[in-house]
Amino acid sequence: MTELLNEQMELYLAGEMDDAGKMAFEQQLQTDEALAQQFSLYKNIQEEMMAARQHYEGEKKLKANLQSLSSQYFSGTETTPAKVVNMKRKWYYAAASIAAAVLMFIFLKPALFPVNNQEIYARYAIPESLSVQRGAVADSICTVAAGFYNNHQYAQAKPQLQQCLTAQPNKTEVQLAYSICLLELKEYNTALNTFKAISEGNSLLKQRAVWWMALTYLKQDLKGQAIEMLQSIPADAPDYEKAQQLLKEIR
Amino acid sequence: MSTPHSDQQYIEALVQNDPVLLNELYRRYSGKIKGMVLKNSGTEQDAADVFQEGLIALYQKASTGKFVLTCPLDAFLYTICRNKWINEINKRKGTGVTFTDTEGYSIDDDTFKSAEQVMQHHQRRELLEEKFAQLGEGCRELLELSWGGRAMEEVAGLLNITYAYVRKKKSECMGKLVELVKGSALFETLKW
Repeated sequence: MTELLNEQMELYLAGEMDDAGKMAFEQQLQTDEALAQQFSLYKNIQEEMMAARQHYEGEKKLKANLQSLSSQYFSGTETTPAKVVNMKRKWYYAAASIAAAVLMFIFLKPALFPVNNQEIYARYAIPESLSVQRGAVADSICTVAAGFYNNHQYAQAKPQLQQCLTAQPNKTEVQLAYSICLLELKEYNTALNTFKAISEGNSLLKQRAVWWMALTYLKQDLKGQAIEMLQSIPADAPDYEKAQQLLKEIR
Repeated sequence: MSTPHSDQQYIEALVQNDPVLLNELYRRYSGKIKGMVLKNSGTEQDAADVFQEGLIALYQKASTGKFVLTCPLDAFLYTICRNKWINEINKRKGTGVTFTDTEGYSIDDDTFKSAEQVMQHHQRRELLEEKFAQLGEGCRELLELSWGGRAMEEVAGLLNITYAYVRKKKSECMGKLVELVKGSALFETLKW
């Protein structure tokens, strides 16, 4: 019930309800006080968080300016960021990196007379672009890494991706790209380990890592293990359809 | 709408990051904040931090475009900073210390209300960020992408998952965040 309600609020706020649904929802808001309160909270929280992100760059620049004024007007102040009231902004770096980059994945291609596992692998395992956008701390390294990676120059991409990950270890999309590099460089065991680590986390890409584990097994002609992996991809995962398609082909 | 006080120019200076006016703001107002903190067991560094955080709280409120200063800045800023410093002392000592020095400022109702508005806003932000950090990684990723000004279709495209899935997932994540916020001890004390 709550889930349905949240979805309705989301639809309404996104302006995506049809006229009848919108009228019914608005009427409900007028008569149901608890709903109205919940809706207002949902809306306010969302607006507040959006505003915070919109002004993040401005806030950062202002802080830098205030910091230098502080050192003029207060003696013995450090040039490090204010420590009294910790703003807990660590996640911002994660935010920048998340907003940064996500992998694009495989398009389904018609299953045309598969010759062998390698042929099927090549058809499904098309590493998609890694896009690095502005705003992240270690962007220059990551941009170079993405350049090699997107050009399928995996040997060159590998050390760069590694460096990019040192600077931003929590970027799941980069972890995934790095693992795909390992796979393409035939470092299967290491690749499996890194895919596994992603699949055990909570990222949105966790099921995608399972999909790549299946492909890693397939590439090594370990069909049984590939099938097992594909079967473990749940029906609500974004790659479910693709996994089912591949299952049909290799069974 | 209330008429802005002439000191509203300093609020604009914060929003615009105007170096000349900001310098003036420090020159005119930082002294009394320093005095208040030093008199109440703080250091110069504490005073600098409190003053800066007070200004950031003000920036956060003003940058939403929903704030007009209707009283003089000095007493108003002093009230915000004093409150911040009292909270900080209590956090450090785990006690309920309070003090009522006003450094000669007369803090009237209007000043107090305006200051409270800014402080509440700042506390709400802090609470929201704290609860947001408690969400799972998947939720944080998705909400960040959507709050970053991207259309949900674009988010779906970036993640290469269906739009319907993204929307459903986002509403679930928002639902979790709302529940975490409501479950906080601070929730009732902050006006939403």
